Amino acid sequence: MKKIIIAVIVMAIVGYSGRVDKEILDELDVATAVGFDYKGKNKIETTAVVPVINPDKSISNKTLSSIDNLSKESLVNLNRKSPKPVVNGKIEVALYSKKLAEVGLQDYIDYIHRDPSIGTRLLLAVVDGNVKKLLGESFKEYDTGTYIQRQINNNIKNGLIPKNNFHLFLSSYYTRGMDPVLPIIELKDKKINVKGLALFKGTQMVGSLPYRYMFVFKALHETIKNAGYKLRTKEKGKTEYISIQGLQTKKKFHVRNMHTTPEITLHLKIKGYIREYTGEKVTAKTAVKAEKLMKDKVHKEAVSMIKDFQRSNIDPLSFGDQVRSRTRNWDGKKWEQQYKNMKVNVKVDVMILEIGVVDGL
Amino acid sequence: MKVSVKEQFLISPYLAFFVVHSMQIGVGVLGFQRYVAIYTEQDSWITVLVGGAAVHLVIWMMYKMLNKEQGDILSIHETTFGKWIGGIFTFFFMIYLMAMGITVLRTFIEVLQVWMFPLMKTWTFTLVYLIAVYYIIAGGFRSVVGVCFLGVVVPFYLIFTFLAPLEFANLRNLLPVFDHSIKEIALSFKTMTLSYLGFELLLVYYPFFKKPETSQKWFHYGHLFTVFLYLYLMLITLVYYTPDHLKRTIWATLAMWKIIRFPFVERFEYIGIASWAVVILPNVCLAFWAASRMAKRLFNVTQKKALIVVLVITVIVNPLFKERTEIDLLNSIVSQVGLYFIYGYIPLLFFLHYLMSKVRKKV
Repeated sequence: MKKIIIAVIVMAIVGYSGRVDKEILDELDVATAVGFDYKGKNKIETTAVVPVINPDKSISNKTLSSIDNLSKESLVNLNRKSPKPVVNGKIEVALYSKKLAEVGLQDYIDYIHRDPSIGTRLLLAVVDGNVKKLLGESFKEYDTGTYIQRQINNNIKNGLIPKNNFHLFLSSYYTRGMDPVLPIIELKDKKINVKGLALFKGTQMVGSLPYRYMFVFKALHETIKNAGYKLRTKEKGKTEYISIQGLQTKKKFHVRNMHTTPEITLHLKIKGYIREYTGEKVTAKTAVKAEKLMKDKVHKEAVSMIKDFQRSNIDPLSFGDQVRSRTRNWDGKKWEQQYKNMKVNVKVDVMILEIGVVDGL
Repeated sequence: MKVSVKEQFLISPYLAFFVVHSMQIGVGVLGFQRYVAIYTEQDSWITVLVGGAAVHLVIWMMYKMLNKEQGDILSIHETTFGKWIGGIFTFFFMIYLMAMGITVLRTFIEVLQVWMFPLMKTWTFTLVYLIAVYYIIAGGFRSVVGVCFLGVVVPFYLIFTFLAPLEFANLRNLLPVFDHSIKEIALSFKTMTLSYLGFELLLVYYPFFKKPETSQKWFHYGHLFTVFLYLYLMLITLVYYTPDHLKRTIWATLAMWKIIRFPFVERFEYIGIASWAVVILPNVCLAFWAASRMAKRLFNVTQKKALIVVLVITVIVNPLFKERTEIDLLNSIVSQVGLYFIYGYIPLLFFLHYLMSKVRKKV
């Protein structure tokens, strides 16, 4: 009897004053995307997208935005404008306007990093244009947040955006001898268009790479599993196009003299097959020609790209990390000096494996 | 002086494996990497191995003493220092055991408050959790060991979840190997030892083994398994995080779970943290059981009464630690004491006990 009384008393006390606030899914505004716009010094506009599921099962969006000088604060402010509490456990993309990225993302990354309810699979992207406007757009199949996430993910898997998520961004930010990159997207004809890559020094955007260089960049940055590339040639005064698909790449670094003046040789191997040709005939010869063309083009682009990186003193291809991991007592400061004038050799091997199911015309 | 425990309360020697392993794995696993990596960065896995080997030596010392004494720490103290001074030392050991249980529980509640329920009150969770703890300890040592067994087996599946972060691993992070001085390894060795604490409770439950000498083998295996687990986690952490990132991550193990996403579970760490309540249950139970057992032997009270005193103190003390800095301080004090206990006090005791037992034999 005594035990039962004690149990009842404890349950009553705990049940009465020990409860945690309940959060019912239907009564929350679950944000799927956040965006940040630059609004003057130390002022940002935060926009959150909340999907609303209509009675007829279609999805529409609700955007909430507020201006403040702290991103978290700003999100709290969103609550003031919403009839339901806004939670950020399902945020899939975080977008930053180009202006904000050029000022530096440091302060706006911290809020995502510190909040335990935001996952590290979150995608980051830089928006060329107004973020609020982009997030206000609605797309048919999914809500805006999920749509952008799916499109970027698709471009990572089958396209030219380098592998990217919040964890990888932080990793390359914190790696000594590596700088992060993020995709740049824009709103074009009511669709989202991948425009290029934003190059960062630390958390500050210092330059960008147009879309046409992204194949070479991705090949140098990581391993491509599936991508396409277009070649242009002049044959007897006529411009011809060759489309090479199913490209797979592999890269290897060789470092020499790491203790004195490091010299890096980048060995790039590319495999692919011809899918389309606007010239007269596709034969085995065409393949050889395409191989040579591609080799030269990729080599030229890679060399000029690396020169550019060295000139602006950024290291998105992690040359620093390659040298660091091969050197004992690596000196980061000395490396910064050396990097600008370091010699980088690029070797490219292209193999066209197949020409499709038609030989000849 | 032999301590005899009734036959029906004894446990099989092989259970030593679970008892030691479950006590070593506690809240420390959730964030030990950072404290080690501060000094040795990519070479931290070496420290895990060196620290594990050193603990093997301490275990061997404890068994040497206990085999000779056929008792527990109280009887060793009595042989070495006499009844009164030995009693004072045992009393301090009892306080240490209690502090250990309180630290584990409070730190786990901190994790709950930071990661899951920011508004949860400390005392309510403490109260509910301790009711379960009381129920288990009141069932005697055998039921505590049963919880130790479950505390190892039930959350075992979590081991496989740590393979998921490998998707974003960078193996270059481990290179160059052996890039740190002996001094740096020694410093990180100190912090790594803290993660291995918990095996010193052998000094209390040794008489509960059937043929206690034969349990030594299993005890070493149990510790070896802990070393393996720490090594596994450390390697994955090192390839997943770069050193500078790791140094800023308070709960590296938990943060790794943030990368896992299932169609039906948006974030895995919520399942992980909930499972961790089962992992720390043996920690709390065994620590409080040992504390109340020492109280029983010291003051000749029944263990249940001693246990209730211990639990009431815990309910009162736990909510007093409010901020992260206070909890961190509590953790570092308890682990510092533990460190000096195993590397300073036990070897000293080993030596003195050896001398005194020779002297007493002659008398």
